[in-house]
Amino acid sequence: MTEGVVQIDRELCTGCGNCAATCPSEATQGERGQAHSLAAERCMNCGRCVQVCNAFDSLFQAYPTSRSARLQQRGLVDGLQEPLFAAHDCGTLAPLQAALADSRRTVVVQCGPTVALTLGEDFGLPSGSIAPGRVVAALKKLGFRKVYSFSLPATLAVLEEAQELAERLQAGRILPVINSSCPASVKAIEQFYPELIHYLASAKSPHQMAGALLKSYVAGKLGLDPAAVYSVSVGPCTSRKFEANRPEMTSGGRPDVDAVLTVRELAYLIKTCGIDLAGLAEEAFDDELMAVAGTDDAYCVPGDITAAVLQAARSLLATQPDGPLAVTLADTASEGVRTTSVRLNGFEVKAAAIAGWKNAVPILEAIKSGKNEFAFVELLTCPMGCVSGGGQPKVLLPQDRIPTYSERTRLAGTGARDWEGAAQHPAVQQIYRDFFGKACGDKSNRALHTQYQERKGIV
Amino acid sequence: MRAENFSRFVQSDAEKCIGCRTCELACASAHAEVAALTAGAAVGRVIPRLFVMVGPGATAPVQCHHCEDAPCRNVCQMSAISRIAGRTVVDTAKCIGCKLCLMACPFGAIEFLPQPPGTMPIYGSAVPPTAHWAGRQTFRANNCDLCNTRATGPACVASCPEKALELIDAAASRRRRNAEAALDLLQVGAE
Repeated sequence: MTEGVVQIDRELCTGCGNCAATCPSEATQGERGQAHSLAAERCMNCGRCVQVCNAFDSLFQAYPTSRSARLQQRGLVDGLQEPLFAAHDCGTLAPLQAALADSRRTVVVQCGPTVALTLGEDFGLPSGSIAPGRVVAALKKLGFRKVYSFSLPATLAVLEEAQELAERLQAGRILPVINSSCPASVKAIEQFYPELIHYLASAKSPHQMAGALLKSYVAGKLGLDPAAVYSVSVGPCTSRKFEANRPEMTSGGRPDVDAVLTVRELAYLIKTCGIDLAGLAEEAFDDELMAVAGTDDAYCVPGDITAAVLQAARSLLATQPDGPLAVTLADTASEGVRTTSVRLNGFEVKAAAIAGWKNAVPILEAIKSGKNEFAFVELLTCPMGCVSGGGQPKVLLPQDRIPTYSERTRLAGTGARDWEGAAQHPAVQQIYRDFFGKACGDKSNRALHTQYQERKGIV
Repeated sequence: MRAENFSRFVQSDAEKCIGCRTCELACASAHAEVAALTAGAAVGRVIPRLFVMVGPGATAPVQCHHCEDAPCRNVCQMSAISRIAGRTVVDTAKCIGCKLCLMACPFGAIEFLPQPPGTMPIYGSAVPPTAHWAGRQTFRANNCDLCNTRATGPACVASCPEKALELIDAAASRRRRNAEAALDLLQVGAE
């Protein structure tokens, strides 16, 4: 059996079925009381099972595999002192550490907005208590030569999707645009709804855009051969590990993102290297990838992307600006589904922001049967979006899970952002004009666009 | 002694238990020096005071029944086990780790916990170090303490996702069974 990025350790699994109960794609196999496994061709790599599994490596039980061998199997490094659980995602810490120690490689890293929000939790600190500048300092101390904010790639992803929405609205067909920034949802649509893949926005997810830029635009600015750049992405997600290995996500035969670190794995690295996170002085992000103020905290909670894309789409459609567009998402009778209705330069646009794959199924079925009412659909696999992502610090006890996710959501906030002005930001203008030489929405831009394939029965 | 003074204990319903080990984690968190919200903050090997047994076809946690005439207490040569407010309590300072209690317990509810300072960090029930063993790794008997310092009662009961654990009040339980049996008799009579 081919194993995926997310796996269940059969030695530790007690067969309790908690993973099966939470798995959105019925990928778990095994009878109650028997060790479970995951069918990689059904698994979305979302890591819900990783978050809920409590079957830890008990000191009072003998296992055929030693703890250090188990750490190695999982791509983790020795010295990790926290409990290991049956459901886990496989890491790439050993090759990353080798790259960090290799003087011929320049290891650069992009850091998503939820990292600073949750990293402290794995150090016993409250959510949101670590300033982003402290995460930058920790990454620098670990040997990352350059640390970049996520904001420019996030802005590009929003603009590219907004352009696609504007074009499809004007053409009056292939609606809705299904947001493509959640790699678990993308894989699930390829697997379970291959007839809908042409609805997916062709824009890559922001961290893959960032990876492509780090190996081209940033490498050029630094005067480096792209082959010497080792690019790392830190974020809340386990399915990014699968995404980064897709053949479409390469340039010149090299992956755009060499290693994906979850927030949990970044915490392991910081601990095993003996860095005192709370005691570090804040450092600034490097500026070869310029920060776009006010846009780096999108992609945290469900609805952020919908608001951003609708606002940006209006600025692309409008002949003259007419003040900021308020996007208010309202709860619906369906769990995890919020909707909004806005007017975009003559188009009455309905949009849905969905959190939780199972909540998306009725809407995907409606699209399939021609009963769709939406022009834009944001689809996040995890139950409360990326703040509850499979790679986030794992909440130990079930009763603490929802309160912790709610607190992360509250802290992430939904601040006022200037998405309508995003296209005019100097960093954005410069990268389209001087580097790409292509307009926003040009699908021949391989740094920003990708394709999808039917994936029925394919791992 | 009247039945109302029976000691209480945590019992699991093997029909409901799914063997997920959440109770063990909750137990360790309740006894850890600092309770961890996330797995990453739980530094060390998890040491609970109850143990989930995974057998063919059934799972259930096993813990101390705080027996009225506790075999562990009777057998202890060091008088290290006593009954305090209805709980069977091990005085780890007196315990020499002879394991007689472990042999005597009909449930296997006594586990020997590593006593720091050792090389291994512990998340959960650490045994306080004793002067004459300072600096050496050793083991001490340990059992369920019914979370006696926790205002809301045993952590394992509170965290079980299947509600399979119950803090048993034997006398109340007996009265309930009596009532149920009486009702059954009435129904049989009515048929």
